[in-house]
Amino acid sequence: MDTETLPAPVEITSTKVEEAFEKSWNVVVWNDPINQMTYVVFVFMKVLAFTMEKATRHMLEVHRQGKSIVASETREKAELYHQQIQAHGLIVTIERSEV
Amino acid sequence: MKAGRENDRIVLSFALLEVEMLRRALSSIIRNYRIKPAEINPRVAGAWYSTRGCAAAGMTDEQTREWIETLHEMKTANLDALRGWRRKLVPAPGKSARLELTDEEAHTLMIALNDHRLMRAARYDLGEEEMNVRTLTQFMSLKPRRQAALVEISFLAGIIEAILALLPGNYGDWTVYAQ
Repeated sequence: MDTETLPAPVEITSTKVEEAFEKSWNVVVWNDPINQMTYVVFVFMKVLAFTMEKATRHMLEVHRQGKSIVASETREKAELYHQQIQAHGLIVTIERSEV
Repeated sequence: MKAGRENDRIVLSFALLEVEMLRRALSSIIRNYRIKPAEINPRVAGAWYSTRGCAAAGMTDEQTREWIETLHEMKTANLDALRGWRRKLVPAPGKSARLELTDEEAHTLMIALNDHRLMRAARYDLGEEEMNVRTLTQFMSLKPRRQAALVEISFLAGIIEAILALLPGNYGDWTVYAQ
């Protein structure tokens, strides 16, 4: 029986896979003088599915400290939140979290 | 303005001058939503299509363009609804005009009105100081167009607060958790 050597398996580095699933991206909401506090709570509850208590805590953090990290997620999820929150008129950025 | 719920709908009733203010705001929103992001007033672009987040995320130019286009599509998707509401707001002496909204429609209207507030603030450079005007003297020290913009922003904020108070979720109750 003829034998055939199979090609060497492609080694997929685990780094890229790990990066894709790592919740290493922070979603940061920044303070601004126009958006109303109640509206910000609404956005956090609607987009991020926060309870009112959690939404209020983050809203007050934005208000008092200038910004709040509202989520730490995979890159893909963070970008989705970024877009949805900005679509509601809030100032938002994403950044790599410091691990 | 009066606001309440009737048969699963949020009902907003506006008096003559309120109708006219809201009609003008809706006309402005519709006009500006139709403008492509690359062609819109730079100050409005900064308010609606800021790429600060894209830069911070290290997006390429192409990714940023696509991202902005998606934001624009999210706004233009609501044009028909906005036009419909503008048609219903017909000012008539002695009569109020009504908008009856499902909860979903109320969300859409709220976001659009908030967009207009952001646009007005950007166009007339209204920031922390102007938004915190506490006396008539401070208000009157602003130029007339900035005064008008501030009044409009405040009027639309009232509509947004009224909607939020009527939506399921009781968003106005956040003060219970404030420390």
